[in-house]
Amino acid sequence: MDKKYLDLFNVQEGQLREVLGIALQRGGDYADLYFEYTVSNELSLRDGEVNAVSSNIDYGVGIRVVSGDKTGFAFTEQTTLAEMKNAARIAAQIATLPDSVTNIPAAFTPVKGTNYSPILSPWEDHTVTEKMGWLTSLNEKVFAKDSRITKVLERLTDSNTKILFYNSLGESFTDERPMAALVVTCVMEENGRIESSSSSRSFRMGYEFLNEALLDEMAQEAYEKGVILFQATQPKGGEMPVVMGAGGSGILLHEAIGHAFEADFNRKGTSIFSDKLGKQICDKSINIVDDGTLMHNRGSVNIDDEGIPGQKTYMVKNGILNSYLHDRISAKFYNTASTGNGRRESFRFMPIPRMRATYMENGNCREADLIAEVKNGIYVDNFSNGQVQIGAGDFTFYVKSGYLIENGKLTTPIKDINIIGNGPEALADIIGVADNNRIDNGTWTCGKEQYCPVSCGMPSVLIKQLTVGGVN
Amino acid sequence: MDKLIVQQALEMALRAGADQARVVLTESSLNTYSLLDGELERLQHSLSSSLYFQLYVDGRYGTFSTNRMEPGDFDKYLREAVESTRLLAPDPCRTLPPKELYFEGEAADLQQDDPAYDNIAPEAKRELLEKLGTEIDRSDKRIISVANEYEDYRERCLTIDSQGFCGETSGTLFSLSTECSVKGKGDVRPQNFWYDSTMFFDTLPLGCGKIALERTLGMLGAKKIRSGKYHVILDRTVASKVVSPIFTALSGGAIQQKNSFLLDSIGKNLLGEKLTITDTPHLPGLMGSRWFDSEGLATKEQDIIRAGAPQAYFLTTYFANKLEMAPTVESVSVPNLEPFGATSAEEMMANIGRGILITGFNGGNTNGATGDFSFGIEGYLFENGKISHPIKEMNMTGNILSLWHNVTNIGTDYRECSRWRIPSISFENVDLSGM
Repeated sequence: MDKKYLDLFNVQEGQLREVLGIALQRGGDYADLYFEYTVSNELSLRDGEVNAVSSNIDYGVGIRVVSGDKTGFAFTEQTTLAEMKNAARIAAQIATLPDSVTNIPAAFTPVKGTNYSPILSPWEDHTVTEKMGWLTSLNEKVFAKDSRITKVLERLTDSNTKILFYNSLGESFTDERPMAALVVTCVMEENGRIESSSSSRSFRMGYEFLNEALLDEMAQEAYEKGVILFQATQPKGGEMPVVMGAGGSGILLHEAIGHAFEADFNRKGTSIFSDKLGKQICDKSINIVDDGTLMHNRGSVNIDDEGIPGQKTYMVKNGILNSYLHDRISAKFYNTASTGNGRRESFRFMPIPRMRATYMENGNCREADLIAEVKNGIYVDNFSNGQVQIGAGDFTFYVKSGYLIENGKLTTPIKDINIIGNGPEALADIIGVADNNRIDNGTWTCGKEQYCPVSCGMPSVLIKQLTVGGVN
Repeated sequence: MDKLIVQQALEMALRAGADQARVVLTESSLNTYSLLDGELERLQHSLSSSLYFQLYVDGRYGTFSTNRMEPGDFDKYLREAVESTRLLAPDPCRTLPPKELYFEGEAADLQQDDPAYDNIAPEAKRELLEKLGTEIDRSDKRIISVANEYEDYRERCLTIDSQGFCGETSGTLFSLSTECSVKGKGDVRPQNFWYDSTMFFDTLPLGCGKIALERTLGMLGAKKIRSGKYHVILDRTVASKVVSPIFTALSGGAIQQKNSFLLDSIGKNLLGEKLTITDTPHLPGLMGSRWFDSEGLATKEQDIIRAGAPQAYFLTTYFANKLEMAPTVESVSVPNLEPFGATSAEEMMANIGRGILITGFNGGNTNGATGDFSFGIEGYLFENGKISHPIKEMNMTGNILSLWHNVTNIGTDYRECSRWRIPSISFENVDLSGM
C-alpha cells in the first residue's frame, strides 16, 4: 500500500484491520472502509470579469457493513481510531449476531485497475491567473459571435479526489480521480425577446483540459444553440416519429433503459425489465454498452467505489438483455460477478449500482436516410434533463431545441418541449440506427439518491413513435 | 454551537489579509432506517460539520470551505485563500450588507427545532417505523414490494461577520415514508409513495402506508388519452411546479443576467389579477419560518405577487449592488397563495365536471428566459366530477405567464409538512399532448 495515502489519512493498516473487525462483530458478511480527500476549486466570470473564486476541502471515511442484502453505514470526518471504531459499531448494527468474530486477513492484496485518467499537468501546478486567462478568452470568443449576445456567464471547476480503500476480504486500493468542467451560458436579445443557451464540457483531466480548440468549439456551440431559438416555437404535440441526433440523445438510453437495468431495482423486482434477462428486447442489430473504460471520460472508473476494476458491460447484445449493472450486493443475489458499477457520490454515501458512460454502438444507416423516412415528425439533438419511472417504464427528456421533419426534410426549428415514452416500447420501436455514434462530453450528472458524474452517447436513431409535448 | 471556534476563524481570516469576512459553522446530523418488506434493509448515521468563509479582499471576493476543523489546518488554508482572491479582477459590488438591514433584537423562538432530538432513543425510532410497516395488508397478491423509511435530520448554523452580525439557527425534521410497487398489466410495475414530516418527533403521524398503497393501486390501468385543451387541476402535492419558476424568475441572479421572464416586472400585472402570493416568515411552528437569511438580512412579511404584479425581486447584497437597488432577502421563506373558488381538489373536480387531475410530474423543465414549459404528467381523467380512470405518458405544455391568466381556482388544502404552502390549483385551456 502506498504509504503516502496512509499518511494522508493519518492511519495505519493495523488500525484498519481492527476497525474492520469491529464492523463485523455482529456477524456481517462484508465490510469496507472508503477514505476520501477531495480538493475542488471554481472560478467564475460574470460581466466580462473573472471576479469570484471558491475552494472546498472534503475529508472523511465511510464505513459500510453488508449482511445478506442489507446495509449498515456510517461515516466520520475525523479519521482517529476512536471515531472510526464508533462509526464501525453503528454500521455493524445491521447484522444481528452479537459477539461474532471474523478473521480479517493478515495481509491486504492490492486491487489492480487501469488508469483511465492520466494527468499530464496537475491543476495544483497552475495559478488562478493562468486559469483566468482562459475564461477571459472564452468570453471574448462568445461575444465576437453576434451583437445580440448581452450577457455571458462562465464557470471553470477542477477537482482531485484521493481514495484509500480496505475491505474485509483483504483487498485494498488507492486511486486518484481528477475532474474538470467548463460551462458557458450566454443570453441573447432580439427585438425585446430574450433567449439563453449554454455549452459544457467535462473530462477527467488535468490542466491540459484547457486549450484553444475547446474554447472555439464551446463558443460556437453556445452561440448556435442560442441563435436558433429566435426562430423556434413549441410545435403541435402528440404521437409522432422522432429522429434523435447523435451525441446527447444518449439521454434516451440513460433514462429509458439504463436505470431500469441497474440491478438494485431488478433485485427488488420493481423494474419493468425484472423478468427480461436473456430475452430479446429490441432489434438484433442493437448493442448498448455501459462503459467505465473510456479514456478521460467523465463517467469512467479506474476501480469502482467497492474495489471492482472498471470495465465495459454490454447491457444489450444483439438485441438481447445481456447484463444488469451490478454492485457487490446485487451480484451476490444474482450469483454473478459485479460489473464494477458500485459507485457513490462521496464517503458520505453508501455505494449503489450506477451508470458510467452509456451509449449505443453504431448501426449501418446514414442519418440523412433516417430523416428522409419521416413524413411528419421531429428531429432533436439538444437536451437539458430527463427522468424515468422504473416500474412503469415511462421516461421523459426535455428538448431545448430541434426541428420539425416534413416530407423527409428538416424544416422549422422547435424548442422547449418534453418528450415522453415507455422504455421497453421505445427500445422495440427503434427502426433505424445510424453510423455516427458520438459520446456527449457535457457535464451530465445523474441524481439517483445521490449525485454521480456520468456521460452518454448515441448514433442517430429513428424511433417509430414517442409522445411529443406541444400546443394544440 | 462553538462560538469560540467561529470567532477565532473570523479573526484568522482578517489576520490573513481579508478586509471583511463572514464565517459560517454548519453542523448536521442524519439518521435513517429503512425496511424492505418488513425487514430492516438499511441503517445510516452521519454527523457532519464544516466551516465556510466568505472573504472580501481588496475589493475582490472568494469563498472557501473545509470540514477539517483543526485551527492549524485552516490557518494556512486561509492565507492561501486570501492570496488566490487577490489575483481576481476587482468587483466593487461584493460587500457585506448595509448594517441597518441586519436582523436585530431578540429572536423569539420560531419552533423550528425539537430540543429532544439528541435524546430520542434509536429503539423509539425503530418502533415507529415497524408500526408503519404493519399498515399495509400484504395479502393483496398485486403487491410486489413495500419500502418504509424513517429519517431524522438536524442542522445548526452559526454565522458571524466582521461588521458584528451574529446569528444562530437550528432546525429539525422527522419524516416517515412508504413506497409501494405493484404488478400491473404485462411487465408494468407501477410505483408510488407518500410521506409525512414534522419538526417535532412527538407529532410525527403514522398513516402514510395506506395512502401510498392507494396511490399506487390507483395507477393500475393508466392510459394515454387524446391530445387537446383541458381544464386541469394540479393536486396540492405537485402544484409548486408552476409556482417555483416565478420565484426563480424573480431572483437577483436571473434578473441581473437578464435571463428572466419577469425582467422589469415590478408593479406590472403579468400573471393575471387572480394570483397573489405573500411571504409570512415569522409564524412559529411553520416550516421555513426564519428571522434572517444567510447574509443576516432581516426577513419580513411582504407581498411577492399582488393581483398578478410582482412586488419585489429577491436581491442579495451583491445583486442589489449590481442592479443599483436595495437588498431585499435572498429567497422566499413561507409562501402563501391567496385562495379563491373551490378549496380542495375534490371540490374543484365537482365544480369543473370534466378534466384532468394531475397527481405527478414526470420530468420536464421551464425555460427561465421565456417562461415556456413542458412537463410529463400522470394523474386521472375525471368526468361528472368524479375520477374516471388514470392517465399516463402525456405532456403538459405552455408558458408560465399565460398559464396564470387561466387560473380558475386556488384552494386551501396545502400540506402542513411542506415549507411552501401551495394548495391544489386549477387552470383552464391547458395544452396536453397524448394520443
